[in-house]
Parts: sequence; C-alpha cells; structure tokens
Amino acid sequence: MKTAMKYQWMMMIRSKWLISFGVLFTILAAILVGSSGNESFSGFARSTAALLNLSLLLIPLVTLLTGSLFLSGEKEDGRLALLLTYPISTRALIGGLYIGSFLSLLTVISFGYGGASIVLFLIGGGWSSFFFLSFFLTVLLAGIFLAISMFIGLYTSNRLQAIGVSLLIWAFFVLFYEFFIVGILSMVPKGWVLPLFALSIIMNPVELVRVWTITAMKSGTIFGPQLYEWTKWAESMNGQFVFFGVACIWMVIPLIFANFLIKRGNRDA
Amino acid sequence: MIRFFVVLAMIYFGLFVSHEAYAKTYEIMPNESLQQAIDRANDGDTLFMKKGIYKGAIHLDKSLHLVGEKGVIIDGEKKGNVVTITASNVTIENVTIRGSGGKEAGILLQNASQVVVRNNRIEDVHYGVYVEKGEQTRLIDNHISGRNVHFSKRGNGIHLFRTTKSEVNGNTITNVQDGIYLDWAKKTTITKNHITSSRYAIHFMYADGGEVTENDLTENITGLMVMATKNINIIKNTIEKQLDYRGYGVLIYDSDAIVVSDNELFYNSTALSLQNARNCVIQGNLISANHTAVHSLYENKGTTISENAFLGNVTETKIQGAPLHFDNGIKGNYWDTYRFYDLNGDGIGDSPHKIRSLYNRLLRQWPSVQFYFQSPALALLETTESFFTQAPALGEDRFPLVSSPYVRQTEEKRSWGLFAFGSILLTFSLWMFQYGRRMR
Amino acid sequence: MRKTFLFICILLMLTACQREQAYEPEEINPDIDVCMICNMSITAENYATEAILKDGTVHKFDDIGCMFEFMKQEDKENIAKLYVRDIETGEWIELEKAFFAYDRDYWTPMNYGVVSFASEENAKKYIEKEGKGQLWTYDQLLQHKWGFEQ
Repeated sequence: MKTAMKYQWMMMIRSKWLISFGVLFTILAAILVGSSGNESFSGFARSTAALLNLSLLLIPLVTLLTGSLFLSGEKEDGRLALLLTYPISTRALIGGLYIGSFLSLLTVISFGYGGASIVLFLIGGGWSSFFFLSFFLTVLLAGIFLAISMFIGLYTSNRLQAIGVSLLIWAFFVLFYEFFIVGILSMVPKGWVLPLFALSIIMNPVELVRVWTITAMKSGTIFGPQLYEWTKWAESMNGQFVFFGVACIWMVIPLIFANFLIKRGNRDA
Repeated sequence: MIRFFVVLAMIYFGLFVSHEAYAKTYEIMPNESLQQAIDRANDGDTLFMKKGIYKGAIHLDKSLHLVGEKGVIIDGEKKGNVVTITASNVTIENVTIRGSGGKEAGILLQNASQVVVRNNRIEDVHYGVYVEKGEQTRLIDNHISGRNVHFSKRGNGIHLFRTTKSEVNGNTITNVQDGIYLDWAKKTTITKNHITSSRYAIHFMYADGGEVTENDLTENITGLMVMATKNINIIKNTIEKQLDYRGYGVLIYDSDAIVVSDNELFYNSTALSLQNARNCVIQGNLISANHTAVHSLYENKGTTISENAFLGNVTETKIQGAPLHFDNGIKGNYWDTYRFYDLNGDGIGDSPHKIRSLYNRLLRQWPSVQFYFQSPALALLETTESFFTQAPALGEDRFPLVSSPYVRQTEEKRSWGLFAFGSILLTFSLWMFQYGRRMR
Repeated sequence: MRKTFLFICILLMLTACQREQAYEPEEINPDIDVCMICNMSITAENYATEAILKDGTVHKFDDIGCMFEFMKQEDKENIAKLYVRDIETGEWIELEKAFFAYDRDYWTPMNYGVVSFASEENAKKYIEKEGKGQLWTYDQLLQHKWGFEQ
C-alpha cells in the first residue's frame, strides 16, 4: 500500500499540470476575494459566495481530470499491469493510489488557499472563519471527486475516453443538475418539494458541499422560508453529522466499485 | 399707566404665590404608599422617590413630576398597567418600571398631552409605553425590554396610537414585538434610538408625517416596516443585519411620499423592498453587502432610486413587479458591478446599466429556485447572460455613476490570523512538494 | 425501459392520490408565515385565515379581511377551500360554515373588525363579553363592504 501511495504521490506532484492549476487557483481566489469588497463576515456575502463557487466549479473538474487521466494513462501505458504484479492486494493498491493522489491534491489546494490568504493579507483583508471552513470542505470535495475519478480512470480504456467521461460527469453535477431538479420540481405536487430537495442534495456531492457550507455558516435563511424546518435541522448538529456521513459514503462507494473493477480485470487477465 | 402697573404687580404676585402655594416637593420612602402620596399631592408638585421597591400599580391623574433616586423600582406585581397617566404635563424620570399584567403596559398614557417619560428602565412588561391619543408626548432615553417569549407573544416597545407630534428620542429597545409602532400617529419624530432583537424595529401603520433620523436598527426581522403611510423622511439611519428568512432593511408597502436618504443599509437579507411605493425618493444611501439590495413587487409609480452606492451585494436586484427607475433623469447610482467606462469624463458611465436577471425570471416561474441562490451553475449562467443576451431589462439606470458618492470609512484591520492561516498552508504545501520531488 | 415506465406509472398514481386528498389547513408558524396580501408576519395566530388552491398551494392571511381582498383578485375556479379559525379556540372551520361577529371597534390584526367562530354560541358569547357588535352568518358577511375602519 505504501509503495503504491508513494508511487502515485511522486508521479502526481511532479506533474506540471497540477502545479499550474495550483497557481491559477491562487490567482483566481485572490482576485475574487480581493475584488468583492473588504467586508469580512462569517456569513454569506459576495466574497464568500464567490470563493465557494470557485471551489465548486474548479475543484471537481481538476480532480476528475487529474485522477482519471493518471489512472487511464497508467493503464494505457501498461504500468498498471506492472503494479498489479506486485505482491499486494487490490484493496491496498486502490487505497495506496487514492491516498497518494489525495496527498498531492491536498498539497495543491493548500498552496492555493495559502497563497490567496497571503495575498489577501497583504492588501489588508480580514480573517473570517469561512476560510477555514471553505478549505476543509474543498479538500473533502476533492476527496469525493478523486474517488469518482479513480473509478472513471479504471472503467475507461484510454486517456481520451477518460477526458470525455470526466467532462460529462463534471458538467452534469455542476452545470445541469440544478436545472434538472427544478424541472422535476415543476412537475410534481407541492408536497414533494422537500423530500426531492433532500434527495437532490444526497445525490450530488457538489450540492452536498454547497448546502453544507451554507448551513455550517448558519446562513441557511437564504434558502427561503419554504425550507424553514429543513434548514433548522440542517444547521443543527445532527444535520451536520448526516452531511459528513453522506460525504464519507460518496468517497467509499466509488472506491469499492473501482476495487471490484480491478479484481474483475485481474481475473480476466 | 398706573392701572397697567397694578395689573403687572398682580400677575407677578399671583405667579409668585402660586409657586409658593402649589409647587411643593415631597420625599417618599418605599415603605409609604406611592398612590396615597399621589392622591395627596396637587398639580405641579414634585414627588421625589427614595431608593427602594415600590409595590403595586399607580395612577397619575394630576400634573405631577415623579422623579426617582438611583435604584427606584416600581413593581406592578403582574397586574394591569404599572403606571397609568391620564393627566397632561406629567413628567416621570429615573425609575425602573417592571411587571405589567399579561397584555398590559409598563406605562400607559391616555389622552394626556405634553407628558415627558425620561431616563427610565422598563422591563418584564408586555407593552413598554402605550400612548393612546394626546399631543407632544416626549419619550426620551428610556431602556425598554420585553419578555423572553416568542415575538408573536410580546407587545410593542413603544406603541403610539392616534398621537400627534410625539417625540421618541434616544431610547434603547430590545426583545419586543415591534420596537416603535405608529398606529395612526401623526408628525412623529424618532431620533437616535437603538432597536434590536425584535420583529419590526419601527412599524408604521396609517401614519402620516414625521422624521426618522439617526436610529440604529440591528438584528430585527425587519428594520423599517412602512405600511399604508405617507410623508415620512427616513434619514441617516443605520440598518444592519436583518438576516431572517423574511428579513428586510426597509420595506415600503402601499405608501406615498416616503423619503429614504443617506442611510446605511448593510448586510441584510433584502436591503430595500418596494411594494406599491408611490412617489418615494430613495437617494444617497449606502447599500452594501446585502444578499439582495433592491426588491420590488407590483408597481411603484413615481418612485426614483438615485445616487445610492451599491457595493458588494450578493445580488443587486430582485425585480418581480414593473420595471423600476434607477435614476432621476440626471444622475443614477453607483454600482460596483458596472463594467463600462466613462470616456467623456462627465462622471457618468457611457452605457446604461441594464438590470436583467435570469435568476429573477426563473424565480418568478419556480419559487423553489430560491434554493439555488448564487449556486455555481446559476452564477455562471447569469454572468454569461449579462455579457451577451438582449433579454428585456427589468429596470435601467441610464446615468450610472462611475465613482461612489459614498466613501465608506474603512478601518485598516489587517488580520494576523489570516497571515498565520496562509503561511501554515503555504509552508505545508511547499514542504509536501519538496518531499514529493526528492522521493524515490 | 420497462423500469422507467413503471416508475412513471407509480409517480402518476401517487400524484393522483395527492390530488384527491382533502385540503387540510396548515399550522401557522409565526417565525416565517406572512400574510400574502398585506405582508405582515402573522402573530395573532387565532385570527389567521387560509386559502388553499386546487394545486395544493396554501396562502395564509393575518386577517379575514385580507382573505377577502385575495378572493377579489384570484379566480374562483382555482380556490379549493377557504378556512377561518375560531378566534377563541383556534379551531379551523371552513369559511361557509363559520359564524361571524362584527363591530368597527373590535380589534383584529388589520382592523377590519370581523371575527369568526365555530358556533353561534361562541360568537354570541364574544359579543356579550365585548358588549358590542352584531352576529352575522356567512351570507350576511358576503354583503359586507370591506374596508379598514378608521
């Protein structure tokens, strides 16, 4: 497991691509937060909304692409087959690859948030606990999408396919999902609105992290009075735990599937 | 001539005597009955209350001056109104009034004019001060707080019912239903009050005429609720953190000629909502960091919004009624999201600021879209749309200002917490990079 | 494909059930409920009224007068049920079956001066207690010219 982890970490952190993303993220975050006024709150404001949206848009995209590309590349170049000959279980292999990639992503996200914070400090911004919350949830989001990307990487047969599937999944989760839900909502009776919203949050990690961040900031009032009871619950300790639980499930399930894929592939080979 | 002097002398003598005869000061101890002392006194007398608790409600039906030493408490023992005033020219000062009945007031004024209520502490009451009719009531520097129950079960801090020329000045009001409620009140002046933790800080109902200046309205459901009212000037107030589900900084409903100028509307759910606001002037306000800056419903005839500064609002407008006028024909507003230049240098942007929002349109069709307020997909789509489409505008600022008319004093608050957070993360990531590169 | 079809069928059936269901009044939550007509938050819960539309939308009002204002605007066809409460007991009653008392000096949230009761007896008791006002049936209420009493 350790070998696989180290291997993956080493490969990814040396990728220029990932480093350029880190720099890009830093610049964008600094511009967004710096230009949206100097008010700093622990609640929902333009700067927090902008930073949150930046994370929600970019992190899934980059994570999906890097994760799936590395794996499908390994597969295409036959290095995965080599790794599989090592005397380790597939579970350990998957775990190692996951942790290795996760560490590299964590490094890049830390770099982005750290850099943006320093820039913001230099132009005289104030501290808000939102930064920490946002950092934590962004890392979590990366963790979830990394798991999904590993599944994609193993499922697809080459790099091109991996890019295509990754982009499709990203667009669905980030861009189209909300319109899809709103479309369904407009067709079902009013009594279904609440359960459907609840389901829609569980079914999409991007939504999960968005709603989680807002409720953790206790700014759930922006969801409107229709969701009053639900928001109260979501802002409570129980609600936050459930969010965490769902996030963990989102990380574990794709990995289990990935493991299953490798095992099947092994047997076929 | 002599007759004139005689008359003058008589008047002088009369005044002198009347002072001697009537204007007495009595000292009262807590073991005495306050009501009996009031009954004994005559118009114009002063009752000076010594420190201690006075039990039982009192009724002032004479023009008395009631003053407390520090630490004077009048306890109504939860029965009826604690202090009832039915005479004009009464002054009540420096006392703590507490324990009204279930639906009654700390101080009730009935048909009494020129009454002064100053520097009192009114607590554990349903209504703080309930003024029924009467002219020129002056309520100054009082502290009013209601009971710790849900706001639907509380009374109002100051309730003015059919009063004329009342003055409400420098009061601190917390934890009540509505801080100041003007029910058919005319020509009221409301200045420098501080109202928090209530439903509506100031609530107008069928009121006519008056000034609301330099009040601080924080963390209520709604700051100013103006309903079926006319001719009110709302100037230089600070209205912030109305963050409830239905939280509004200022809501003007079915009203005429309301002037809202030079206020600071900061960090509210919705800063300003216009719903059938006719001939109102919204001018020179700083509207910043709100979730929604301006909301409108129905038609707002003759209302202009100009020379305001819109800074850092999450969304600037939510227009659900007829298009709004965002300029007065000469000047518009400063929008920090305005993206055009002022090449001729006249201080006004070269292209109108058009307000159109996909989110607004979606929301009108499907109210549940509120759940996706500022979600990444919608935010992205809105930005793209603002660049390209020619969708009909929901309002237009023909003369957008290119510099803010409002200079907000920003204290330099460079935060070392931010520096620490940033450097820890940066060091961590750089170390990880190094480690990863050196690894074999 | 068959699964999708089945799912849609179930969905439709459930929707049908939902439609047939009686239009029950919703509880008032003073934290968030506001009168749909006058925009005031509903604090006097027993004076609240509700109009339930055929699509299941519940509109809440703080005063019976506001509901009548709403009835003027809304197409009669869309309205499924109208509810008022007995202002003493808080019991929900259908508008047509309620009894009313009116006096211009009665306190109501918007000062329309009309209050509602579950029974004639309750209404009479209220009129007696207040020492003024007149008893109305639903038909008499319809004759009433609504307006804020000044």
